[in-house]
Amino acid sequence: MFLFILVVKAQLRSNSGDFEIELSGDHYFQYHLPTSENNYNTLIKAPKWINELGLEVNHQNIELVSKWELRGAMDETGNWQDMSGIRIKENYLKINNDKVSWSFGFQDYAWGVADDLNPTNNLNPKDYEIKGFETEEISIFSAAFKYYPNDKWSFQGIFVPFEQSDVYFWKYEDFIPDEFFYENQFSGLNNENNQPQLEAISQVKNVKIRNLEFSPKSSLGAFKANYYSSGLDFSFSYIYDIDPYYTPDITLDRYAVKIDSDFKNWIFDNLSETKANSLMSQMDGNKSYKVSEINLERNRIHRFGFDAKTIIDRYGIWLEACYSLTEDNGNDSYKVRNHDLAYTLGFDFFYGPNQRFYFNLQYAGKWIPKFDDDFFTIYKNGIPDRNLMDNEPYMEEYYYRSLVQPFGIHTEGYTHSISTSMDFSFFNSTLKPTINAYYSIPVNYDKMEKKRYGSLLLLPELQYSPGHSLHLYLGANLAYSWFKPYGSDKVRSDDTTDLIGFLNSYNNIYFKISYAWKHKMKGP
Amino acid sequence: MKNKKTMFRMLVCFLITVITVGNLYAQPNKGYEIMKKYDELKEPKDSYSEGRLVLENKKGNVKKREMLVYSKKQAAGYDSFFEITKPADVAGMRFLTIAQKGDDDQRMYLPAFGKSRKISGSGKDGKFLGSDLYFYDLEDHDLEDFTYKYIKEDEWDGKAYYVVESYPVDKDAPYSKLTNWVRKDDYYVYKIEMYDKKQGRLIKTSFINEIEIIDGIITPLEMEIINHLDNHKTMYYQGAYKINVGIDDDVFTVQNLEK
Repeated sequence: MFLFILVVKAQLRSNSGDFEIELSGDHYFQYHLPTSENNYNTLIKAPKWINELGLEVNHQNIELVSKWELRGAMDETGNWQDMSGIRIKENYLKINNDKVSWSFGFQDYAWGVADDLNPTNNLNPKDYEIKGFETEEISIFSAAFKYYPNDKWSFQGIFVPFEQSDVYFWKYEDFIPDEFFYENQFSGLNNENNQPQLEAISQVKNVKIRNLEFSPKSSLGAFKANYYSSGLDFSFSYIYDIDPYYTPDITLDRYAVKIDSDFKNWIFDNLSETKANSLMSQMDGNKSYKVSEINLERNRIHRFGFDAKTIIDRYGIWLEACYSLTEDNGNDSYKVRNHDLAYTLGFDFFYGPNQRFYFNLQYAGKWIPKFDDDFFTIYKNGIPDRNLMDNEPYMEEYYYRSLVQPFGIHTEGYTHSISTSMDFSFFNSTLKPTINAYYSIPVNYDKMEKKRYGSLLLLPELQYSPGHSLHLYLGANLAYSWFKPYGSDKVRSDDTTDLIGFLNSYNNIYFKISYAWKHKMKGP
Repeated sequence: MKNKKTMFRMLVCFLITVITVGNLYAQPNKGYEIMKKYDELKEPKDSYSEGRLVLENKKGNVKKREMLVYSKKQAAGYDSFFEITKPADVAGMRFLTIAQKGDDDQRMYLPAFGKSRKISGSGKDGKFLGSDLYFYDLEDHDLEDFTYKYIKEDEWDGKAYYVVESYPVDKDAPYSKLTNWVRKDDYYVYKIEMYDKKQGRLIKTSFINEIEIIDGIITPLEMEIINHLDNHKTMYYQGAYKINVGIDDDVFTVQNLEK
């Protein structure tokens, strides 16, 4: 069953001098055909109807923008209500003076010159819920100014009074192994070596998300200087930010390893007294550490950004980079993620008959100095040494190292990526196929866990535009991350420890209809 | 003399210009003299208009684009600022061109991205907003960028014209030749035939269908371009046209683009 999408836009304007009102609507309906798991689980795959309605009022140098999104989706239960709602989009007041503009409210900030892969664009929280494959930005409550002292420079300052979080379609708690909270007990003898064998007893998984305080303590600040010229544009930026990803705060509990009563009875019933006493003395008094509580919290991060773009002949060329400094000043603590450098270098041009085709190629990378790449080398099969389970520093380090990096999607020391975007225009832009592809190769990771062959995100789309702001789309969202588990010969394409691989089970083909409208009325 | 005229002004002022002129010092001739008179016609210092592009394909399907157009003459040529107002799915897109002695500095603002960006050119034969106007047609061209040849006097639509051919010096130009129809009574170009570079075929013909004289300046109000290869037609209508109104330089800035 294929769906259809309705899009409606409307605008109205009233008149009075410089007074101007504009109403607009942007509507789409989207139906997905899952290719991996045959269900409509999550908004990514559920049939959905998204309506963005906007009001814009302009009077002299004052601008008021109010945009809202009405969302309806049907999940696998067939219940529209479960996934429907209203979301606030841009809602702000802006005052434009001679050289300065001031704005206050829910705003979008788009930083960076690269195409989509923008390491400097970190102010707005991300919404992974709707599309997953291409995140949407959430308007952030903030105050801002932009000052243009002359034609060459502009300076932007932004204050966010309290942090606002990303929206995920997954739960961080699910990524924490239940076994971390288990207590062990001796339950039998190992058949191979005749040594006492441990059995896990499940306990409450005590994970809490420590939300940021609704106070100035969680405020953000940002500054950006832009330079414009015919030869080169560049900018420098800084954000006093909060890491969008959680860092665990782990509390350990020391406990006595019990001996299962049935096992105890079996020992005295079946072994000689000497052997039984020897075995009991081996097991008695054993202590171990388990996790009693994990608090997930957001840490501070400093982001230093730079971008530049120039045009040479008909080629656009750009570089964008951001160095993120975490709270691990020495970059040597296993409790806090390391700093990282992310960058994108790219170029684009038009070609073909009447320059109707567009090509864009980018190389992007990420470098994490002192990346922890030997977890599985030190902890065989990801399990701590049984003889050291009563060693608190050892166990604490084990638990932190197993969670801190993966939670920040720090999965390798270096990432080299290529992305390309191509669009073709036929029949005077009535038919437009586009291909967006992203392929990344990990370098410097723990090969004792698995061998990784890279990740591919493929987003082909065919757009038909009959006119009148109506568009029909047929496309696909496809994600693969290939790997071979250590000791296995089989290559799989769903490595869930990688963000792209995590999306593999959400692969889909979609059909979408969109429609936009806008109406303005000016004062006399 | 560095007087520049552009097809861009066909949109901005509705003046058809591009067309030609050779090296006036090296090889003056009758064709050059005619085009020089056209080149010396009075021009506006600045202009504002509300333009409407109507694109029609061979099946008669029509697409419309509406825009606000500002332009101002500067030392290096015309600065321009466009804002698309219709249709709704592209409304709010803005283009800023700052004239430079080399390639112009071009920037675009897309409301969906919320930021302005420096853009690479679409090449000489790229189509402006899907119309039959090439970006080459919108560029500033020096008189020295062409050579010319006087062909004949002829009559068209009841009026007498000089017919002058011009040949682009630029190797990247999409045309091999342009034939300009210059009316004898006002030296204005009312018709241009454009020939492709590879095979010399007639690919497009442009017409000025309606003019108005404002403060002694010939101002086109309606232009038509027929693409003979694609069976496609572009009409451009210019409304609310105003000239020499003292448009502020601040209109042609990144600040205004991002407002």
